[in-house]
Formats: sequence, C-alpha cells, structure tokens
Amino acid sequence: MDQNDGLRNDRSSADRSFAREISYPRISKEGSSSNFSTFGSGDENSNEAILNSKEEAMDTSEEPFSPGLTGRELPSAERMVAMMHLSETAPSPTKDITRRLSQLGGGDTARFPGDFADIFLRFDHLGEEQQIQFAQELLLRMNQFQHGEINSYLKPLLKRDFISLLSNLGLHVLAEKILFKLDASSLRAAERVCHDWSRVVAEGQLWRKLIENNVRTDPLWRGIGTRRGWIRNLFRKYPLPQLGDTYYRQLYPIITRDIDTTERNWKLGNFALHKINCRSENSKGVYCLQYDDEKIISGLRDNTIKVWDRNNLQCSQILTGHTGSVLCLQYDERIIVSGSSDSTVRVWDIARGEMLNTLVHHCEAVLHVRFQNGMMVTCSKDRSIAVWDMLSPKDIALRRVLVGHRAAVNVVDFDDKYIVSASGDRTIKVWSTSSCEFVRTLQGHKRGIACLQYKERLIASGSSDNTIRLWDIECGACLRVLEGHEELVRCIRFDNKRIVSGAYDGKIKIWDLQAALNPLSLASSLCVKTLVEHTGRVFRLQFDEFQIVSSSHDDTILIWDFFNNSVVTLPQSAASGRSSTRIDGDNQPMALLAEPLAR
Amino acid sequence: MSTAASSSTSETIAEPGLKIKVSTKEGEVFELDEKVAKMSQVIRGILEDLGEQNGGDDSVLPLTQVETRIFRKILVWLKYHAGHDKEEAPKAEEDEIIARFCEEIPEWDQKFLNVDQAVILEIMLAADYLDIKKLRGLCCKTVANILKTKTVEQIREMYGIENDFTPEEEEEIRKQTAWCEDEPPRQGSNH
Repeated sequence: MDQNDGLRNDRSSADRSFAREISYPRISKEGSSSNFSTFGSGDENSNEAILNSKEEAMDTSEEPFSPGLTGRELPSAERMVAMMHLSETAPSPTKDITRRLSQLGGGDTARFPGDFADIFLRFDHLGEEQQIQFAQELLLRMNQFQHGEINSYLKPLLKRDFISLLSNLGLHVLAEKILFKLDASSLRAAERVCHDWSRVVAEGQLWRKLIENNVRTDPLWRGIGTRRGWIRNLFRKYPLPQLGDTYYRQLYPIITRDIDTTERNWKLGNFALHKINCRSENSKGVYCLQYDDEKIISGLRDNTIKVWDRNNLQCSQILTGHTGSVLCLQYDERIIVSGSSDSTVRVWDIARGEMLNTLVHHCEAVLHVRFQNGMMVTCSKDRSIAVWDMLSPKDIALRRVLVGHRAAVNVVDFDDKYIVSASGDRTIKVWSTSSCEFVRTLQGHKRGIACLQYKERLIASGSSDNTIRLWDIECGACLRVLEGHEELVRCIRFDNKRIVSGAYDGKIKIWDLQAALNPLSLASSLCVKTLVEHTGRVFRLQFDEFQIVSSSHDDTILIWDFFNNSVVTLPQSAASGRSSTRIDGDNQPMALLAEPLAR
Repeated sequence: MSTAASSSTSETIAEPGLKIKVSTKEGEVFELDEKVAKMSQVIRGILEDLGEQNGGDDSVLPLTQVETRIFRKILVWLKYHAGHDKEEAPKAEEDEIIARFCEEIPEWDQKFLNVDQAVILEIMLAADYLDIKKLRGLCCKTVANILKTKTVEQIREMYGIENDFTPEEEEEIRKQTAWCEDEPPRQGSNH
C-alpha cells in the first residue's frame, strides 16, 4: 500500500462521516470500484434506471460542471471550484479532526496482522452502502461495552460546526440563511460562539435584517420606527455605508426598550393627553370617529362631518348635507360613508369633500355602517339590516334585507364569513355573509346591546347591563363576562392584546384580552386601567399600539398617547459626526405637536 | 437506501411526458419526469437554454457535485413535492424573508429532515447547488430550530467549537451586552 492509499484509507474508513463535509470536492475514488468484485450481492441501485456505465461517467465526474453542454456557467460551479481549493489548503475544523483521528489510530492499519491489509483494501473499494452494511456486520459481532466505546469515539466525530464550515468554504450565504432564521436572543448567543460565527452575523447584517423583519410583521415595531425616525435606515436598496453592523446591533435593544416602555405605559396608565374641542354651536357631541396618522374624521351631533388635521389638531374640512346627527361613519382612501338620524346613508369623496351619493332606504335612523371589499352593511333603528353591493361610490345596490331583530339594530360588523348584528332586543345574531341566511343567536346580555366588534372568531359586545361579553362566533358560547363599568357600555374595540371600552359615565376601561380569554384568570385581574377624562358619555373610540382616540357627548375628541416620549439616543454610525446629525436630526416623535394638557 | 427504493424512478417505457436524464457525481444516471427535474432551477435553466431541439435525445446532464447517496434523498423530496405542491412560480427572496417566522415546517418535511445534521448539511449544499430554494430553506430552518433556545455554551458543546475569543474580547462582549440590556448606549464607540 503506497502513501496515497494510506491517506485514502484515513478518509474513507473512520473519517468518512465527517469527510462528507468536504465530500463535494473530495477526489472521486468510486470509479475504480467497478473493477473490483463487490461485497455482497444485489446492487442497491437496481431500482433506479441506470443508463450509463460507471466507467463512462467517470470522465465527467472530476469536472465542476460541463459548461460546454449548456454554454452557460452554473451559478454554483465557480463556488464549487473554490470549495475544492479551500478544502485542500485552508485549515479547517475538518483537518483538525482528521489529525485528531489519526492520532487516535483510526487510520493505523499496520497494527493488525498482515492479511488484514487486504481486508482494508477491499473495504475501501466497497460502495458506501456496503461499507455501512459491513460495519454493521462487525458491530453485531461486538458486545455492549464495545458499542459504548465506539459510541463515545463517534460522538465527537459527528459534531460539525456548520457555520464556520460553510463560512470557510466561501458559502457565507448559506451560513447567513441559517442564522437569519434565529430570533434576537439566539442570534445574540450565536454571535458569541466564536469569531467565525460572529463574522457571519456581522457580514450578513443579520441584526438589520432581524429589525426589518420585525418592522414588516409587527405594527408596534413599524410605529416606533416611524416615530423614532430609524425606519429610514431600513429597507434601503443600497445599505448606508456609514451604518455598519454595530449600528443595528446597538439599535435593537433600544427598540425593545421603547416597546417595553410603551407596554408599561399602557399598564400604568401613563399617557400624554391631547384634546380637540369641537366647539359645536347648537347640539354638542361627537357620535363617531375614525383616525389615521394624518387625520381624524368625526361625525357630530350638529349634523356635520368634521375632518381634523393631526399635526395641529385644527379642523381642516367640514362636510354638510345630513339633516340629522351623524351617528356612524367609515372611510377608506377614497370615500367616507356616513349614516345619520335623518335615515339616510351618504357617500362622500374624501379628497374633495363633495357628496357623491345618498341612499334612502331605512325608514328610521341609520345606527351603524361597515363596508369593505365591495360590500356594505347598514343597520337601523327600524330593526332591519341592509346588505349592499358597492360597485362604485355612485353605484350601490341593495342586495338583501336581514330581518329578525325585535328592536333597533345598534351595530353590525362583518367579514368574508359572517355578518354579526346586535340589538336593543338583548341578542346578537349571526348571518352568513355569502348567502345572507340567518345562522344563530347569541343570548346572555340582560339588557340591550349597544356596541360590538367581531374579528377572527371572537366577538366582544357591550351592553346596557353594564357588562362586556366575549363570544366564540363559531359555537356561540360566551367565553367571559367583564364587569366593572357602572353604566351602559357604549363603545368597544379590541386587538390582539387588549380590549378598550367606553361607557355612559364617561369612563374608558382598558382590559387584558389574553387574560380575559384564559378561563383561569381572576375576574379582578382583567381590568388593567380606568381612564377618566371625558365629562360626558363616551360615544366612540378607536385605538392602536400607541394610542386611544375617543369621542364624547362632552363635545371633545381625546387622544391618549401611551408612546414613550422621552428622548432616546440612537446609536452613532461608524463614521460618526457627519452622518450622526442626520440620524438624530428629526428624531422627534410625530403627532406630538399639540401641547399636552396640564394634568 | 430503502426510502429511495420505495419510490423508484419511472420506467423508460411508453409514458407520455418528457424525461430528463441526469448523472450524479459517481456517474449514476437517473431518469426524471420533466416536472420533477424542473423543480431544480439549475436544471430548468439548462433545459431552457437547450431549447426544444435537443429534447428527447440521449444527452445526460451531469450533476457532478451531487453524490448518488444524497441525490436519492433529494429525489424522494422532489417527487413528493412535485405530487403535492401547487404549481408555483419560483419565489422571490423577499417572500422567503416574510415567511421567516410564520412558516412552520410541514410534518412530511420534518420527518424527511429528521436525520443527522451532517446529512441535513449535505442535502442543503446539494439543494443550493441545484437551486431548489424551498428545500434549501427547509434545511436552514431545521438547523435554526436546533440552534434556537440553545445557550452559547450549548452551541459550542453541540458542534465541538472552541471559544477562540481572547479574555479581552470576551470582556468587551460582556460589556456590550451589559449596556445593551441596562443602560443607554454610549456614543460613537466603534470605528
């Protein structure tokens, strides 16, 4: 056996399992196996269609890929050549293990009697499958103690450091792809493992990518990014050269601190309060509202719809046309739809403020309206629900009228599956959206129901019996009764974390939704906070991760801002100075231009 | 291996649909349904470059970096997914990112990848080479799931990695992490 054979021995026997790490560049030896009488009988490949002889194929097997065949360079071919090169020259963990192994005597065949050399040689020329079978045969001939010895010998061999290996092979992209799927705490652990790992995290900009991913998927992250201004350092086509990996690694904990503070503010009831006084002339009161980052649109008791600019909290537009109080409204990018005690539903152009359509159908006050995806549902004091097809703002056709409630229908909500309505008759009714057929009635409230929201299988309803109930729409079961309000619960909204409700005594309550859905929670632990600022009935509210906006009979709109408004210093960029002013420049949280009220 | 054997490659005889022949590193030739073969963007690219004029002849695409052993495994995966997945356009990298957390590994793939990490690595390398993004992504995710919840020490132990940070570097990292968690960060530290 010559020198080379000895080397090959090393690799192919005990070293085999981790030699696979470099198996692609490994010099093919299987080609010669066809000359040898194989161990065992049937060819395990017989199930596959073998069309070429092995000898023939050998000719190509040493080449990375034959570009001549396609006239096109394969993306990975070049890399594979690089791998070949690296595996032969660069020091890698594999080499270490190889060395360790030969020290252990893995390749030292000389210690066996002479005729064993032939066995080793023949073993080397077996196919991989057969080598495994051969080793299994050998193992079967040994006792448990020996198995234990072999096990402890094998264990360290099977440990392979993927990340360093891939990185050393020039396959950073793959290493990054693995670490990219980690969350923050495991990413932090990964970068502390060793230099190689740390480098993959830094060069892959994995902290930036993690932040970007969170911003994409979590409105709280997006909101904080917008308010703090760091969002503009994300999602860039060309990453900012002065913002290295360090910037994003340092930014991450600053963001999570902002999130923690905001969450704490909700719990403790720390907020900045901003007030819009509507100064209505005759009948005072704000029945309904909806907001976004730029504006608040409100429906008033004085028959008008008023649009408020969030930058200065001034009224920017007044829409007139209704001849009764504006009781409900909803808007999207193009239109506002409003319902009024004048029994009409009106559609307005949101940009120009002009009235586009008036729907005269209900014979009493229109109490609620919802629209989405070309469909609209309205409900009325006349006890009926109307389902409309909205082809365009000017082309809205009545599809169906749903009758069944025995008193005014105060609120409706719907999605693709169900239309849900609640009435003064103390019941909630569920209807099929596609067929408009009645599905079921939810009973439990002891007095009329004033408000409701329905989303993802959950209904939250508020009633004149001063309670809130949570329902599972699919089975109709009442999951929880929330007690605490002292008067009629007039408005209610929920997201994944909390429920916010407003009552006729002017109080707003924040509830822990997840706790409320847990049957084991104590009733006393569910109400997180009670906010008392309104001096009249709370008519309507909406909220998000940072704020509640509420309207009241007291003729005001209140903005309760729970965002952490303290100044936060963002990390400096690597090339500090020049760029840092720009980063910290407009670090001001938005929508805070109005003076907070003295509290 | 039994897994591969149980789903044998289709016979050469009279079946409609184009067959693609590929050979592995060892030179073994496999005949694949066009649909299965084209799940590899590399093979798809070559076939598109070749165009129709060469279709049906005896040319064999040499996949010289893929060992038979691994190719058999990949073939099992390809065939399963060719039969079960809806025809979907190759996903952009962007979509992959969005799927990052929400995407659970389906049960079948979990079982498929319930093998030693060494084998996962080889499948991943081959999937990368053949440009089968979904399989590569599943491999990455599987390894990432193993890493998750592990401490630094556990990772080092699992992979037999030696801590090559100097005490000074460790101290620096410790300090960094400390102020990350407790205090506002210092300014203009790194250059």
